[in-house]
Amino acid sequence: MSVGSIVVAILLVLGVGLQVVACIGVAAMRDTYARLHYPGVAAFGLAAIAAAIAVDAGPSMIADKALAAAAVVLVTGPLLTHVTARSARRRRLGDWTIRPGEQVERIER
Amino acid sequence: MSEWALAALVLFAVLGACLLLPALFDPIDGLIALELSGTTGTAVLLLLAQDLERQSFVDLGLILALLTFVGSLAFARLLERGP
Repeated sequence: MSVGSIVVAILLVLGVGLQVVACIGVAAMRDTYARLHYPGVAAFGLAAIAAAIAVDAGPSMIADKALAAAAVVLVTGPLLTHVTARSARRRRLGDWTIRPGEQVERIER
Repeated sequence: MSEWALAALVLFAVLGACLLLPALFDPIDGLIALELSGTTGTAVLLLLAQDLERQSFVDLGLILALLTFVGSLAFARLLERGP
């Protein structure tokens, strides 16, 4: 068993494990805002799987495209999380600005 | 069965669970499950392309990753209106 195949196995187990943990997290959390933390975990799982493919295939088209797909998900993930959180708050309250009485730390500019 | 196919099979179970979640919770939680299943689906397509040794199939994963972003944005916009 070569070093490369051991690295591939470790990355694959890590990637699949992170995605399974993300799914359990989304299912188990109590409210929407707690659930929102977990798609980001799954994005890192995808990055590990893409890295496993890149290590196995070496420098090639399949490795480049897999890493590009992982990069797309890693970049767009935070945007989607923010948009979903805003959408959830608007859905509940009609607006996403701070309500009177809410304990929010203000940033001085 | 290779390790790639095994990993794809496990992730397929995750996809099935993501399908079940919106039926149990609020639609906005269904949107979160959609985002999760987009990431997992991309991983499944990448793993299957590697398992079948068809390099051109990796494009499907890349396109799914891009389209999940656009689709989720549209759903987030629509779900803002409230129940």
